[in-house]
Amino acid sequence: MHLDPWTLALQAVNFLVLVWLLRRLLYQPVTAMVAQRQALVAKDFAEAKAARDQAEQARLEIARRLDGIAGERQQQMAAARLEIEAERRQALERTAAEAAAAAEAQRRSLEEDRRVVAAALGDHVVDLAVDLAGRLLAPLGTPVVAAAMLDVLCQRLAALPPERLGSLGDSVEIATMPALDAPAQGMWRERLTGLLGPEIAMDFLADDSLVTGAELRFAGMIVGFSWRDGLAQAKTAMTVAI
Amino acid sequence: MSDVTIEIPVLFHLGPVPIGLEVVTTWGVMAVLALGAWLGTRRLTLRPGAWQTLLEAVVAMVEGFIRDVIGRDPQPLLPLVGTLFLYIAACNLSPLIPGVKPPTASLHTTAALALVVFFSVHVLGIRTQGVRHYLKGYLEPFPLFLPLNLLGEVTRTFALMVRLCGNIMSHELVLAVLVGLAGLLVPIPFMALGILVGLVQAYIFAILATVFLGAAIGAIERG
Repeated sequence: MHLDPWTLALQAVNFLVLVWLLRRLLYQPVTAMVAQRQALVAKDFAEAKAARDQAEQARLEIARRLDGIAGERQQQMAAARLEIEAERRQALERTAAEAAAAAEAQRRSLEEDRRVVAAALGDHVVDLAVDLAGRLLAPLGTPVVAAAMLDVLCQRLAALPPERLGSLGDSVEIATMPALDAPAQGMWRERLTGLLGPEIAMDFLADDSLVTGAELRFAGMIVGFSWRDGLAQAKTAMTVAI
Repeated sequence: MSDVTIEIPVLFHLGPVPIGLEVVTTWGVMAVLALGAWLGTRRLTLRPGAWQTLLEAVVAMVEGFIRDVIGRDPQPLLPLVGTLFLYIAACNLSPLIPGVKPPTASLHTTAALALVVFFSVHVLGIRTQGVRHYLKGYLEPFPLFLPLNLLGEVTRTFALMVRLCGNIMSHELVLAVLVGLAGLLVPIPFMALGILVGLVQAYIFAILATVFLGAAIGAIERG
């Protein structure tokens, strides 16, 4: 066995040619394609990473906005609570004021009602008292009482000054209760003529509003004494007292 | 395969150059590899088909073990180491075609490959490190080791040549003896074993070449 240099050289050349061929036909295209694919993958990865980063940024932004919204909502809720509390307090105060005003109005109304009722009751009581007094005094309207009232009237006329007494006029209306009969009228005429003079004309009439009493009704003056006036004064005094 | 002989017959002459069977087989292997590469890479796409995937896997595998050995970018060594692996593997598997003898069973072929590796180591070493620095490496660890380093350069190249040729040739001889003794079916397991042996030998040759080249360019320690 020996080595042929021609064959040895030819095999070496063959191998080198094969190296050249495979470099052109295999390694360069394949490595270029692999590099292209890696670049594409790297680009896709970079884009995916950018998209992921963008999504992360968006997520953070949304989270920040949500936090802001939550804070704003809490602030709004706190403000709403304060506003509701203020409105509730105002409503309570307003209701309390209205209730107080209503109570005051009711109290005033009750007071007015009580006063009106008391006044009406007082009037009724006074009326009853006057009526009762009238009923009690009516049987006393006898000529004796009339004579006593004539004495009182004569005393009051006598107490008048002379110039006043002279200016009373030339007629007088004599109202009595009870009514005077003819003898009593004669006695009254006699006594009054003595005081007023014989020229004065006298006219007698019965007036049950006097209850019991008599009035000398001149043109410009009335001189009288009646239980009606006494009862009226008593009624006024009782009403004031009630 | 029953024709057991170490000498490769000369088929014809091209001028003064004798053309033996291993040369013709080499041409056939070259044609198959080049044609396969051309067919596989003429329409490369980003979405590879089966054939493109196979080619990319082979290239990626070669790149991977180059990167594992030298720890650098495998592109400068890829054409030489990749072609060594593909060519030796194709030659070792060529006996699967009846009547074909593997060119790697010839010392002409393995010697040529070893010489290519030998010169490539020095060319790359000088280009990478410079003549002075590269040659100074033969004086390491101290000048007394110069003869030993030179002897190592020769013996490792010789070992490359003999290891590949001896393994393939011995496998062919054993297979021929078995065919002669036991007929057609018994050698089939040994032929299957031959596939493994052929791929392993291609891998060993390529790895050793990568180690030598890596040491020459200073990527790894010179052994």
